[in-house]
Amino acid sequence: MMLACKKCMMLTEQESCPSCGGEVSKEWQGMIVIVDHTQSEVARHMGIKGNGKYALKVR
Amino acid sequence: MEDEIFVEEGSFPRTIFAIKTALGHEKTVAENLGLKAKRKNSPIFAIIAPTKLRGYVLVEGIKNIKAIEELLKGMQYVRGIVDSERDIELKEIEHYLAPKPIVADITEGDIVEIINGPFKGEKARVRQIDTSKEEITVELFEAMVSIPVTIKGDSVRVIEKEDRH
Repeated sequence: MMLACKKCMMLTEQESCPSCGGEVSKEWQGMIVIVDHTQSEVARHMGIKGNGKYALKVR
Repeated sequence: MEDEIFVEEGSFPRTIFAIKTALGHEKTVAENLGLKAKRKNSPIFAIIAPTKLRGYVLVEGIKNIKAIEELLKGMQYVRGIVDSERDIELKEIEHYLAPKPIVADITEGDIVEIINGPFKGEKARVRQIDTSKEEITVELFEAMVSIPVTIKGDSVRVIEKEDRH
């Protein structure tokens, strides 16, 4: 099952965030897939600094 | 290398556009499209699958219809590009990127219908709202004894707003 980091919102199947080490939650909504964070205005707007899968909302 | 989709970035606008998908498969399409775009080095920067936008994903990238169509060819659950004359601006989709709390539209005193869980179909009045946990406490109309029940904010549908006049 996919989990979302409560801090950076990255989606992972691990029990803690592989990116920032934050706590993960199974209650998340929406998804954004960043393919090229250097070119993406959406990633910049959301403060995402890496490629990968992220939740739009984490509870 | 023959698999790559080359695009002259200067000749097409950077924009946000929509792709129609099968209902309920928006996240699958976003994931698969992300993988394929990366593999084929195609000019897509981000794919967004907001919960409230059912049957569509939003794509940020270079709008070269031919190259995108080529990329989407054979992809499961994809129904095609929404080929609109008008492109979507970032400010138009900002509300999807930072969704407001689920309970934002619910106020104390509202009458709601419970849409899932053991009380599905029951009507109730909202007594308390916990915005941080996105939970609401309701009193069921049909219950013999009025016992407050706490449920998730997305488990209800507001059917009557509280009359504040």
